[in-house]
Amino acid sequence: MILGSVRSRKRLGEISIAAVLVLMVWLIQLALLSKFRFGDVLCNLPLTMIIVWGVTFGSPMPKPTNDELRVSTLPAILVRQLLSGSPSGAIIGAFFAALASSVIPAYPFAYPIIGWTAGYFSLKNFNQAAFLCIPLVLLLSFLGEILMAVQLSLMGRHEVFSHLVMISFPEALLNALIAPVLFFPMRGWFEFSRWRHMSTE
Amino acid sequence: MAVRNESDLEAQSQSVAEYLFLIMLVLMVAVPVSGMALSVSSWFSSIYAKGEYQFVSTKNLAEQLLNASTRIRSLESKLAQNELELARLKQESRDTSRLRSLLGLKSKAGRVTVSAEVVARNPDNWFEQVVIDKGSADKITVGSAVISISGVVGQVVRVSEHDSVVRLATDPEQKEGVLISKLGLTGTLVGNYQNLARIDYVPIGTNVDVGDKVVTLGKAGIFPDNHPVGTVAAVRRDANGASMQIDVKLSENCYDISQVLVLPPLEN
Repeated sequence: MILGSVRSRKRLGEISIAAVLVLMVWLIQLALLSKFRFGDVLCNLPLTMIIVWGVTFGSPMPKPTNDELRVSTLPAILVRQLLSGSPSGAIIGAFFAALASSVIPAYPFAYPIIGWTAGYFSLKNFNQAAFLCIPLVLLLSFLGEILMAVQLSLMGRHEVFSHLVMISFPEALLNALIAPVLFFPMRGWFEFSRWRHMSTE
Repeated sequence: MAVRNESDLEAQSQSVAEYLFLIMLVLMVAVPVSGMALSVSSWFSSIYAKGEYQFVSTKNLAEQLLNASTRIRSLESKLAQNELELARLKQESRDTSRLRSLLGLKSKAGRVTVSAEVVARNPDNWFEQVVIDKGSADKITVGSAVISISGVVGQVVRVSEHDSVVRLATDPEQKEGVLISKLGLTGTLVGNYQNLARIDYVPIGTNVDVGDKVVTLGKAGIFPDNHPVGTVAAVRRDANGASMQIDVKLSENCYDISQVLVLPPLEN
């Protein structure tokens, strides 16, 4: 009972820290980064944070063993693969999307989807993860922009795809460049929380 | 008796000679020794005086240096403060002149206006929007026109109690009726992100020139009439060749705006 309350207090603390982080990132993007344009394109700090979050915390599902893979059918493996995204990444994405929809006239579904998808590329067990996160952020930012373009196109917005070409590459590049700045503290936090979790047990 | 006297005289004269010799000897030794002592003491005193002078002058120099460095530091901080103050005053002067122009525009508009400040920009690259610090509490409604002294800024698309979202004239969703005043030609101006805004479907043969002024039409009761929008930057045939397309360079730089004037739509 006491352990449970300690755990729930820790969980509550982690959620509070995450909420504060999300709000800080949102404020930085809205009030500060949106004033700096690089070749008429803004970097997207919320999207970068969603991706970095997803790749840092990854999926809670354990990796299948070779025996499990041997006895599983292809659809079962595909379903397992589909489900092994990052739920916390998706939640952070949904949170950012809700904040974004308070300003822009659309709920960017790409954010939670990208948050979930980033979990497939978990960097939990990589030593040189800071370098790997750069190409991952580049690719996933690009994917996120494509999803956003599809959503806006379905909503009937004009000239979406011509704009996609114009913004997606520079934005993805900018996001990739700032990714290590977010990745290092996030990774530190992840290591610390894992160590604390193990020391509690 | 005489012999005794003679021997006494001889003895006396011998002792006088001895005394004289001793005195001479003492003088011969004492004079150079005293001279040497005097020169040594003067040598020492001159060295001491020089050392003292060097010490005092070094001390004075160090004090002067310390004083100078303290003064330089205080002057540097004063200079930095003055520079900050100057920058603030320059900013204030710019703001004042902008506000003065807005005030002039406000009185010229002849309708309800609300002055507002831009507090944030859109967080992504898909929408061209800014957030202003006035909302429904200040009688701002959706559809209100947003202008500045230089030209049209955009239109309010979302209102909260104390802030509003403005869709900029550069957004492709933003359309407004405009007039090329030289020709009396009307059209619909459409935003095109960071590129030039454009007026589509202009009849072929219309005599539009680069540099012609484009102003608001102001018939819908949203934008004031005859307010500057931009100038014609290029005229060309559209992809079908059936009509012309006019590129318009907006007068207001939508990426660098701080104070704006919001005009709620006219009723009826």
